[in-house]
Amino acid sequence: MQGIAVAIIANAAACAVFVRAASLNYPGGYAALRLVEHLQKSQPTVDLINVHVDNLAAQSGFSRFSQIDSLNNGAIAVCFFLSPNANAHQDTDTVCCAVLKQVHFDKTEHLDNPGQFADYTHLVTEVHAVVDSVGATHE
Amino acid sequence: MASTGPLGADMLSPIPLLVAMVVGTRLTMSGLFRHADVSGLDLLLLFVAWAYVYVCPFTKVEESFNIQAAHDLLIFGPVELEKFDHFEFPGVVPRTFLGAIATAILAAPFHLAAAAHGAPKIWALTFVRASLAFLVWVPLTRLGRALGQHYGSTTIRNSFLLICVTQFHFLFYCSRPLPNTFGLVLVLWAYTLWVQRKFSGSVRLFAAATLIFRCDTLILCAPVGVSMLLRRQISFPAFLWAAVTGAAASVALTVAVDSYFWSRLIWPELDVFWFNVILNKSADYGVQPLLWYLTSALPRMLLVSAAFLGASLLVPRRLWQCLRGPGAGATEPGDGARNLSWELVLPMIAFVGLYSLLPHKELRFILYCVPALNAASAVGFARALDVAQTRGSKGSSFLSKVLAMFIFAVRISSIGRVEFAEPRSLVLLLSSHSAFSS
Repeated sequence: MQGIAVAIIANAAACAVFVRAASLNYPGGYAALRLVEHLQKSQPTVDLINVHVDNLAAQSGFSRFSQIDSLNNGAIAVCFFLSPNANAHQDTDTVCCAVLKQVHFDKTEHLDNPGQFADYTHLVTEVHAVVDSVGATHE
Repeated sequence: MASTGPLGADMLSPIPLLVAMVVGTRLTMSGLFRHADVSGLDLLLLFVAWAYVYVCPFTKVEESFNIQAAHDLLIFGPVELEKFDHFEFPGVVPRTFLGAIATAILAAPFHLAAAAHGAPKIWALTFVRASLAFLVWVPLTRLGRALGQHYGSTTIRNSFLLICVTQFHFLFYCSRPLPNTFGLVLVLWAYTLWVQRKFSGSVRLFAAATLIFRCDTLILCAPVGVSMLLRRQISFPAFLWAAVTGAAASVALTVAVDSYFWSRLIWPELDVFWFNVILNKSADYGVQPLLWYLTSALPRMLLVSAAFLGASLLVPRRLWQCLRGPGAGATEPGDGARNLSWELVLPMIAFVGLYSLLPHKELRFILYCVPALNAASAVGFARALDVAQTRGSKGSSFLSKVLAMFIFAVRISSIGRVEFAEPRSLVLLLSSHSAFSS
């Protein structure tokens, strides 16, 4: 019985290690969460938010489920969540229409020239790629 | 859609929902299907698979086609095809929509209910992956049940489940929307019928898995089919008839559905077959040593349970009976002519051996062999349990309960830490001409 117990505990312990390692394997997914969170906190003044998603992010967790089509600002979201009564909901709907902003996602690959990044308002990208491009822009 | 909360907050919320789904499944199973026979260990498997979804909710590039398809089906419905991802970013080879359709249908009620209450869209990803885990879980529990019935032993059934639940890769992969996972759903049903000695049905399902989801399942079908024929479990005409009818139905289904979604006459797996086998481009993705599956993939997938596989197989009498066909011999339960261990394992050895010849190797390619190997290991595991119990250790049943609790605790404790998993190599930057006030 001890042998079986050890075998099962060893398996379970290995599972814990594996699942921990696996959970660190999706940087693109977490970057997407942070992007949406950031968009909703900051209040962009442009009407079209144009996001570029690079290859690594698209391969490691950034799917269409992470994308949003439009953005309403943070105050509305709070109003929506915190007011259970019908009146507030009506207000929410009215304000919503007024400040809706479009969000566009682009997965174009092989953007080597820094000038090609000019149209994007946000980048989700690998660290070294950004350092290279930003360095090039500032020269 | 309302706002998402701070990072991690909306990842935490699906927990009560997943728990509700477990309870709901239990109630539905016991209510609608009186004979469903779902045990507590069965449900533990589902819960662990869903816990993996919760800890790793995202998907990788190999899962891209199916997850984008499931998204488009859920969000746009099956009519606004021009918005679908496969038209916007066409991949190298076409894939079938059938798997995505099945998961999207299962996930749709949960998605609609959550969206109606203002939940962020990212929740739907969890629902889709939880649905897929459910689709794999159902035949997995049926396989365990079939094993228990074949050997007339609840211990063997529970051993099978316990081995499956303590291995990582199998339950982790069962919620990943890979073509292999959708193939696995059908292959698990095929294994179940194989154990139940319903060979024609088994052949039909193997054919469906091959022709709809993964053409490379042929490497598994061939040894299994040869085994059935050599053992005279099915006559050659009956085998041919089952294969042809299964194939005809599968191809009709995939061509009809996928031609609609791809807007041209198409049989996706035929294109995949053409690209991968005839043109053989797979080596472009990397080359592994010949014995990689044996020395790297299988040890990681089986873990310590490999010892019980050895205990099941290293009984010379069983190998002899397996090779000589059912003859007179031992008749003790879980042994003798009725023992399936070698019958299940020999085709898997051929399967992994054949796949080893291909230079490009991935763990998911041989995922099919894990439940079959576990079915064999369960016999050795149950035997070890019996031996331990007849030796009369009084604390044994208490210890087994402690074990179950422990396994549960390990999973739960690893869940809580996920929100600290920061993206390591990606940053989010505002571009230099940022038009933002903050």
